[in-house]
Amino acid sequence: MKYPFIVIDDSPIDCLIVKKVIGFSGKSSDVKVFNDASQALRYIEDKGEENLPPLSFITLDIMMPVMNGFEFLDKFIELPQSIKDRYKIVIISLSNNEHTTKKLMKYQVIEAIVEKPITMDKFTTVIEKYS
Amino acid sequence: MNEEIKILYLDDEVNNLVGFKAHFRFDYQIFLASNTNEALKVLEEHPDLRIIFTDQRMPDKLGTDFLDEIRVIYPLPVRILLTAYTEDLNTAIDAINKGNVYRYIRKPWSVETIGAVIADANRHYLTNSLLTIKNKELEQAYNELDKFAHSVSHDIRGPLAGIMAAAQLAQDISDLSEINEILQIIVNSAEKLDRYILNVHDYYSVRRGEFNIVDVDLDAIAADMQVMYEAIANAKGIKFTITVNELGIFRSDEVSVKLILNNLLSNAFKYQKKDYNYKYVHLEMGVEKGMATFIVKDSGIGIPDKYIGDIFNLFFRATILEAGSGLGLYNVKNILTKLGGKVSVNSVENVGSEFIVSIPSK
Repeated sequence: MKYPFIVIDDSPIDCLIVKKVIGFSGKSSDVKVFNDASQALRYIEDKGEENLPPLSFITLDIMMPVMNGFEFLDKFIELPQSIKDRYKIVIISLSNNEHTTKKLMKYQVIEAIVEKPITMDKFTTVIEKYS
Repeated sequence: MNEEIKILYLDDEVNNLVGFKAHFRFDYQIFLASNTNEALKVLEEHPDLRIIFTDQRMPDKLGTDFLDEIRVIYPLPVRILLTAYTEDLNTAIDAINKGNVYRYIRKPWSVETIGAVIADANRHYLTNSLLTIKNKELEQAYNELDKFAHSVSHDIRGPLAGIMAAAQLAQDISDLSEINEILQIIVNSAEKLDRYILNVHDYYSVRRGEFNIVDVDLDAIAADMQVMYEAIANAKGIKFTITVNELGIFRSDEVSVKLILNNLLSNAFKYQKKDYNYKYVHLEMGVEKGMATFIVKDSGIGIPDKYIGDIFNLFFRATILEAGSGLGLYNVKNILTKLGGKVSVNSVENVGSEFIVSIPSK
């Protein structure tokens, strides 16, 4: 099965890499890229519940200007349960120190935490249970 | 007379006050008080008082009690206790523990003793104040270093992770055109890293603050800037103009001046509105009456009001529209502080920004 992906990272270069990795994995039906987390959030809100595929993936960076990953997560968990249930969030970020990881553990919507650099191997490990 | 050295003398005996002032008014700024309220008023008006002489036995209060009361609010002035009596040991202990006194002088005093004590006390004051200032600077440097280590690890590892990920990806695929695209990612990441390291280099040269003051030729700088930004101006369709109005000599550190202009100009070129037909960047330079002014004006995206106060802060970034390190304007502000200059900004969102820099000639 193929899934839609939403890529959120302030660095255009990193977005391109994540997009390529997702593309080569053959798991994506569609990839949307956002350099600004607040725009991604608006996109998800606007999309609403109707016509939403059963499952979509979001890859999320943590350290970003304007709206960082935690701010995005806090806004995201306020969405209606019926919408939240249709998304799995994969954190793709640089320095996953103990403090950050602990903080991230509290968010149940998070499927996995992947440390940059993202590789095909790391990505496949996360996604392989969704055949 | 040494105007800088302000001395307060508190004594209930007016004759003592008059005598003290008569002897020392030519050498120092002397303030007199005949009771503790007057003394407090003097302290309030002159927080830079360096030395306080106080009598011990006064009708309203003991000198040691007065010193004890003021030590929290005015910790810096050096305290000296004068006393006419052969006090008991308790007074001496109080003077040291409560009053934090520097010297204990027996009345009647001699001009030579007081003169020598003032010189000593002033040295003590200077050493102490210098230590306080140095401590504050050190604390600030520590905080900055902390932020720095954190940000540097992120900003250096970011592009590096990009390079590693792209290289790994290139190994996993065989399509040649895809590989070429991925190589471009590697090049872009490497360039980003390089720019960042240059910024860090600037940051440290500014911090060290070693200036080489010369006659700065604004026309030559204008020519340099014109050449440097010609390519980007043409590529992005931006009209770049410079005017110079040199009505005097401007002495400053040329490297610093260029660093400031390069930061402001590269921002002006970078943060342009995407689809706008009349993009421009204008640089105005002038010297008049020992003050140089530089104005960089653009037709850019502008800065939201809520961010204006933060743009000169270390690692602050107001937008994700373009790549930035959050170091550039911080460097500008830092150099200007060291050169005794100022920067102000006028900005309207979606119309443009104007940075005005003024630097006094050295």
